[in-house]
Amino acid sequence: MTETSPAPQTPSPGRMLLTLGLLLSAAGGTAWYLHRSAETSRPPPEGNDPLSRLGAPSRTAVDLPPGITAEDYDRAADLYRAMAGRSPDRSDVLFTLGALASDENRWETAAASFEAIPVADPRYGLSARRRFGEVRIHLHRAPQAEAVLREFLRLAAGTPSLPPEEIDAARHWLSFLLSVELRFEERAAVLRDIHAAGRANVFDSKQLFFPNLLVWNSTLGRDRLQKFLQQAPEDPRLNVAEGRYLIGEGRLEEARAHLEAWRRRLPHDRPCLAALLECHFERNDWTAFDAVIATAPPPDDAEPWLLTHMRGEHALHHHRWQEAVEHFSRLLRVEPAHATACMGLSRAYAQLGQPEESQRMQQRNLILARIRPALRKVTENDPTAAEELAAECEQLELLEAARVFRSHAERIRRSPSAAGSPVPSALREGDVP
Amino acid sequence: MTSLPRRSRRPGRWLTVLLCLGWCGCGNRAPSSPVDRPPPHKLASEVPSTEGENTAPPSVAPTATGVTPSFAIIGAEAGLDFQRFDDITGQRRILETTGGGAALLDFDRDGWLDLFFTNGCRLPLRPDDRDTPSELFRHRPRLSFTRSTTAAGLTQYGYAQGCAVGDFDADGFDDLYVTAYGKNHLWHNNGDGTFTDVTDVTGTAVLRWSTSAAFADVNGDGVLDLYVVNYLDESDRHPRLCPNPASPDGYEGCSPALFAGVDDVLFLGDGAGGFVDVSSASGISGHPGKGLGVVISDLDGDGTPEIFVANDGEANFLFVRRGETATAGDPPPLQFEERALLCGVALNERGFAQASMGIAAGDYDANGTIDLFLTHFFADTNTLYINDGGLSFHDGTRGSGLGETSRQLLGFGTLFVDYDNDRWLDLFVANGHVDDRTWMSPPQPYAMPPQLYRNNRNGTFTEVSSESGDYFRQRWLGRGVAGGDLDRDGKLDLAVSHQLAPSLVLHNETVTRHGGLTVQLVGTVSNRNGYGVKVELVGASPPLVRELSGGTSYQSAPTPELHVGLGEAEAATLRITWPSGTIDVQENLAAGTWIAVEGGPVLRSPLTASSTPPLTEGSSDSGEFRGR
Repeated sequence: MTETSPAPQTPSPGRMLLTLGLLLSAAGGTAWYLHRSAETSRPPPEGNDPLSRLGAPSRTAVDLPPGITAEDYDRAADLYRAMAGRSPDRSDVLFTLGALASDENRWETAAASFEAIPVADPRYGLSARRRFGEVRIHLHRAPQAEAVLREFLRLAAGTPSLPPEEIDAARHWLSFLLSVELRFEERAAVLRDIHAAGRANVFDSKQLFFPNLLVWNSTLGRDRLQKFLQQAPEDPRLNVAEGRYLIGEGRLEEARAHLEAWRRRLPHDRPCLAALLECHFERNDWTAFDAVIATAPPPDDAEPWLLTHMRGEHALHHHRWQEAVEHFSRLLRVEPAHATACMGLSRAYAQLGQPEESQRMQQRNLILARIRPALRKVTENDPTAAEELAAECEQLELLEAARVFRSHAERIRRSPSAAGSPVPSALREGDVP
Repeated sequence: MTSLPRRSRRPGRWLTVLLCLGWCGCGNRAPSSPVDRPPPHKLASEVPSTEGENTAPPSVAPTATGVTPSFAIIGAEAGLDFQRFDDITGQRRILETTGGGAALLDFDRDGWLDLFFTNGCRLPLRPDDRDTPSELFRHRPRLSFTRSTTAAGLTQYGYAQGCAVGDFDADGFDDLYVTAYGKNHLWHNNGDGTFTDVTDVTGTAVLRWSTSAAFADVNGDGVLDLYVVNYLDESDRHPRLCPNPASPDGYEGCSPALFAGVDDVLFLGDGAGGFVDVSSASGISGHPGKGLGVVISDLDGDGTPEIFVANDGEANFLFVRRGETATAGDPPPLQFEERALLCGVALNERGFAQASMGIAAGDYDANGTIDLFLTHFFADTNTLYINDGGLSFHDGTRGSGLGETSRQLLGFGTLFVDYDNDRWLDLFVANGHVDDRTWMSPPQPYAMPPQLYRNNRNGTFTEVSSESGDYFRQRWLGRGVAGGDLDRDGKLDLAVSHQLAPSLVLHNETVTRHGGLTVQLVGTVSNRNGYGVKVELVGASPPLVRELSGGTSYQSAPTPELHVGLGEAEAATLRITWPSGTIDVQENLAAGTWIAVEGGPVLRSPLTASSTPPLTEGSSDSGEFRGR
């Protein structure tokens, strides 16, 4: 993914052709749709072609969606005609214009184009929906983007003939959104789907198996969230994430004020509760922590990982060692590479007179401490690093992770040139420690 | 009670030292009294172990005093015109990032601390490159400096990194060990104002990328040993580069995670001026870390030092001496066990190995044990490891005031510094990024402001950087930091090495009613510098303990002296515990600089604020060397 300003550019016709050509060749989904379009809908006779009508000066005002100029529309139509060798229909033009505008970082035009294509359109509908979601991310409209991507994935589940690249791209963008918003539990579900579909790249696997070891409070993530917030300042999820980023920046009093305000607005929201507890934990303010956690619902397996973590820290602080073991064990079940959970368990076991268990957790942490910097080395270019990571995973009995990283290594070895992910990673590798 | 020295390998040595001090430590200045002698020292058993008559009432207060710290920049106008050359290029090689260090040592024994800064050079290394030597500055009191590198014959070329100060041959003159990417060098102080490269004859060459180093007596034989921290495996001829098309120069800095760590080296002094590499035999080898900082300190108070190494992105090391017993007639073998994880200093509270750079060591919470503070990477916190005794530490960063204030900075050199002499250890941190990421969107800061924290006397700190002087309001690529009382006014000053900016002295001009004691240590049975000495303020409540630790900070050598803030007291009684086991109790020491000789008297240095009038430029020092 690249982050660029939405300033429009004026590419040369040659560049436009090249662009569309690249788009058509690179985006399998688009090619599929074009192919399917050619099979299922023969071009109408020249005289009945709506786009040929649109090409006439007298038709420039006909049915143009909001945000799309006649000039853009005609330009896309011409381009389509040149590329496909036939006259386009309205959806052809809108889809082409959406792709073109995306390439030119003209996100508003792209959004208007994709949005104007009905979901029910048999050739473009789903793909346009997915791209509409993606464009909304570029426009920093996170909640709307998430809604569209989730809608796409729901519809895609009932469309077996949809190219896997389309679903793949949607899941990656959704994963990206959830990363920025620090919604790691929900991201894990998406990442599991990506893995189940056999579409995971190395970075996906790192995010799935080692979420606790990756940098979450990068300046990049923070910057992205702020852009999202500018577009949706009242969104609860974004604001809870904002509170956590403030904590991550060490602005604890600002975080406290922010999260307390949102806690008042969202008294039953567990992510907000967890973030406020984290803030008090970082401030080492156990009086405030005690008061807030007293309002927490009973623990369950579906609660945010952060809340479980905070329950464990609370139990440790009050020397309720067995309870701490329970909370941190639960956390370790949902996130087996959670270093902080291992640390908490080690402390609790030591106090419970179980030195062997305590030491076992310490040793586990030592391996995780080796894994954490090693994650940086594990890339799509280095099968050896992936194998080494797999070996470390085996030591931790993270067998699924070990299997996945071995398969990555084999894949990279087998076909180094194809090692790159088919879609861009939602977060850049610099977000890894 | 004064214990007997464990052995008396050099009988009568302190007398020799005294004789030497009598005429070589005074310069040509006429002190108000040649050597102010305090009352004769007493045995520990002869003084009350509770509050003494010279000790102020307990000074525990909910918050610190309102003393405003003030540090003034001393640089080129005072003759300190040095800027380290790192050969920083657009390739962003990892070699360019570590910067250099500073040392404070009185190489000419005139009583005034001189300065040494390490320098880099062009990369790849060329044996004939003589363009950028490390530099020695002679202190021409007060706070005026003369470049003395050439005159001293200290021809330290190459890509130097850090330095350590120690009188390894116990001849009364501090020697200098300089680490480098390339060959490290040991420079013997000849006692006549010059140095000789004795690297090869002493067997102390290390041909790895060394960063910090520390002198200390790790095996308790009264001879200084040398620990050398090595960073990672990298080539100057074929450096690893990390392309990034988005960067203006096409590269970004490579993460240390992409490199292999290397073992550190431990040299034992052989007592005859040489060293023996015991890294393998002692168990130091086999732990390839990515070391940047080291402190050698008696962390469990059992009289033998531990070696703590700060590793970059990997678990830290704590080498603890094993308790082997001697076999018939032989001394026990020197064996270390790496126990950082068990002791709670390998990983932070979250279980993460942090990118550790510099180390401050000191009893910040006044409970009699040495705590450790480590500086770390951007978007992470610095970490305060609180010593709970018995080699057990816990991460006390949260709530200390040190965590949240460090998250948007990247720390290197750091020292506990009681800047206002209130008896409580305050904290200095030099900051600066390793990679210019100002081109990124969003940008990360490259140069960064340094930080000064006031100890609140309740386990927490308050950052007071903004009120501490111009230096703290500017941004720097801070690296090495050394501390010492340069102008002998009883307050600790700092020397800071930067990248892409001149190295500086920060003169402590804090106005405080509290006096400070500086104690220069002269070991006779123990090592000559007194590394490992613990000084306690008798009767102080809470306890005040200062230790002369080996190493600390980052690639730098704080002066081998101990500083004790007197707080409200006019004078103090000190219990000095030497590594040999000797305990000296020195009573009624007023503010100023004192010379404490193991098993002997304590002498007042003539270079004391109360005894020496302010000197004007050129009035005090002919510039001649005043050696033995």
